[in-house]
Amino acid sequence: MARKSITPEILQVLEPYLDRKDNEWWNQTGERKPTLPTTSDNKVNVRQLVQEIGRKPSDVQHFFNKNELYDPINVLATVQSIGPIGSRVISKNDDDIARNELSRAKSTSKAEHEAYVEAVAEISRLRKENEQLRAMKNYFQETGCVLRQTEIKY
Amino acid sequence: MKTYRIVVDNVPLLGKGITVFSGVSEKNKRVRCVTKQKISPALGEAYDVTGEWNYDPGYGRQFHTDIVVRQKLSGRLIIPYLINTLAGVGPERAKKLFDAFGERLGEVFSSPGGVAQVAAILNPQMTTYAIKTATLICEVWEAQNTEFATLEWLELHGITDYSTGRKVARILGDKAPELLAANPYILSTALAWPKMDKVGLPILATRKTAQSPKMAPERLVGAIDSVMRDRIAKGHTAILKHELPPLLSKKLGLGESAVRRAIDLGVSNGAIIDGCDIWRAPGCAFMEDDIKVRFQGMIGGKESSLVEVPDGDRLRQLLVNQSNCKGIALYPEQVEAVIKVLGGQLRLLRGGAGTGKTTVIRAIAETWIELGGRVEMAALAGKAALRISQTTGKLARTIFRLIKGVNESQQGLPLDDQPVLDARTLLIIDEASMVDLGQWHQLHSAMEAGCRLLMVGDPAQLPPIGFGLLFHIIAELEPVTASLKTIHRQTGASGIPEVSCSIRDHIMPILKPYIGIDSGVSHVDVPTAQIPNMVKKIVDDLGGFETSNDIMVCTALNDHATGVDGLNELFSKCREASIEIDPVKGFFGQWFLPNDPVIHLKNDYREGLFNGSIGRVLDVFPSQRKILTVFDNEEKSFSSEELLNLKLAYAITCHKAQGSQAKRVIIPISETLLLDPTWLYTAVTRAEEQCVLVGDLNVLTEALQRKAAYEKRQVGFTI
Repeated sequence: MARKSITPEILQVLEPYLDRKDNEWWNQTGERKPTLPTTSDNKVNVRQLVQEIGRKPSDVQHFFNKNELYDPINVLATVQSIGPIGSRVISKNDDDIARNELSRAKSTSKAEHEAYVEAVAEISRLRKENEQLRAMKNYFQETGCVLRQTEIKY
Repeated sequence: MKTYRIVVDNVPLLGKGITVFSGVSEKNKRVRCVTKQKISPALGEAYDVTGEWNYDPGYGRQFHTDIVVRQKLSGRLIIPYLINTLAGVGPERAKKLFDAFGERLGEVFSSPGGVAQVAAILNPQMTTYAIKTATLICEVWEAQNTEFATLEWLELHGITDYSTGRKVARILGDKAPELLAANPYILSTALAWPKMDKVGLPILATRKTAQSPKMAPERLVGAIDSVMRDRIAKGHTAILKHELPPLLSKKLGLGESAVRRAIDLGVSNGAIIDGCDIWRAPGCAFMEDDIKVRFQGMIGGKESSLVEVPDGDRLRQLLVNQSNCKGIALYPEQVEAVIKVLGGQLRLLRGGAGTGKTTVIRAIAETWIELGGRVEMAALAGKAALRISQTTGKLARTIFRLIKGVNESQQGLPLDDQPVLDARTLLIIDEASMVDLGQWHQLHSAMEAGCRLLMVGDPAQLPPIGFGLLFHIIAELEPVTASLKTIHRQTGASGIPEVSCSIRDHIMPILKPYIGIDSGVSHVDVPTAQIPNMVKKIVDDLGGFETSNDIMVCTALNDHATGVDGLNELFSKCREASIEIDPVKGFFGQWFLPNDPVIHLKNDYREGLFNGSIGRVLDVFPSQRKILTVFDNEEKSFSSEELLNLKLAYAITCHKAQGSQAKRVIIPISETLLLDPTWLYTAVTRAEEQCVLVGDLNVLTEALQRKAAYEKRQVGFTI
């Protein structure tokens, strides 16, 4: 029943494609327009993307099912202010912060880069905290028990 | 003997007795490892494996190893780790990073300026995209380091269960080793007590205090956690207050004053929660109270659906129309049940076998859809979900699939047919008596405000295998419960309804003697030692295990002559003697031949197989150690390693049989405390036409005097 994964094969062409789209986005002057293909309601147009990377239309399903494929696309989608395919990596909140930061990131001064790195680091910290809480919730739903996280009060 | 360091990129089999995983070594050699060591490798992890190469006819060269040691990732092995674990890092990016930082890659990821350095390599223009991707890489790397440090600490103290280690690392985060060193008894809810004490006492002994480690507050509270863990494993969520001290004393090996101190510390540290005459386990208490508040809100009108339900008369008219258009004919009792169910946000539909629950569910679902609502249906077992799908003509999922689907929808995955539990939805949970507290909590968390819930089941059946009790308690709430009492499917002549009703009421039923193919419930009085052979004779009388005969042997025990293992061995040996085909060897004494009934032992959603799915062997290929089976009309082949998930199913336990039925059911009456009225009721109601009880009538009489399994559960849930 074991099957060969198609993900590495797709990733091989997706990765340079996304780098190219990122550079196209970054090198625009004036008001930036998304370089990823979009649908009429401003979401990533997966069908067109699949076509642009030279894959067959039936591969579209993998872009909805496999986070290894939709996660990197969505990172770039939030950067370009378009609706992601949907993933655990990008929350609505991250999206808003990224959009706010985006206006600053249009210029490339070192200080602004640092500010952006700090903002992303803060999101990362919060995300980690959420993951820990989610893990605790899963633990007590599975086992009925809790894992003590505080010191014992004497 | 050879040793390789590999990074795992595939885990084809994670079984109880054998694990198969593969990966690439530092010299880029592919190594497929087979080990009996109890490990659960994950993608991206590094291991040192020591063993020898062997040849397998199905898989070619395999590396058989019994020395598997997890290693910290370093150097070149970070590349396959990144490709395997981090979404979006493909071979090109991974290579770019290694070319830039070489063996220092791990150090760069962990350094304060790591994100900026990595982003600059990904894209020298330091684009926003590059920064975000670099952040993700450093984040995953940090999580990996945290996990490794936790597992390293656990291994150092003799705990090699990686699965527990990973859970602990995920919950405690990067402070895990520090927290564990300060209080090793944190692990009391994850480890058996003797193991816990073996790890904890030496650590406490190193402290420079006058206090004996045995009396350390950490150990006293840990013992309480451990007692509550044991209780939960038996299905309870609480303990009677007077039952705690002796159990605690036994764990601690200490007297009354230490036990009193432990209970005081347990209360002040939240290890037990006061519930009048019971102590409640904190995790369960949280879930029970959370659900209670939600359900009370639903009953009390704090939540409302966006679907408007007309009053009784108009609803009756709607049901008449439906009866005419869709052919759903309802008895008066069933009409009243539909009206009651549609009258509120939270409802329970109870009824025994043959009372027409499925017809009522269908009528409720059709009406709700006609009123503009959406219906989602689910059951715990795949088989039960399939049955409700077939009888209602609407998609039903397993609860696992439903919750997974809802989570994906909430994260924005625009897949077709994803379940939605919003204010227009009526969620119907079938076989709800089997759902445990943790699963109810997951369902409640997945339901948006306004989503309606209907629990359907039979409280006379066995309680959930897991902890807690909700359905049986809510079923006693008259205002929210619609009861179906009249039996329609099974006729009075079969005797099954009468017998099951007597059993439910703890009354010894009148059983007719067994005479061969018949209808109703009969009995063969034989001593325990003769049960296996008598079961065999009855199976032969009834035509044998051919598909068309639809026979189920439902037993209480696993490893006993009258249990699953004994009976399976008996039937398997008889089959082997009767046909001239070499069987295929499975695991744990299983041998498979064509036409053997088989049961799948774990959930495999990709293949549509569930724990409890029952199929049949179509063909066997001994030279390749492979078999071809059919499950739900779909052919599935099982290779040698996958056979670990299959077991013969001539006999199955009643828990596995819950949710499915057969034309004829044979029940060996084993002498065990598991045999109680709920067990017997569940087993007898699996039969559609004939049920044969085999064994000593005195054992049956004794079993009927026992308390029902759910009555013995101590829980804190009230409503």
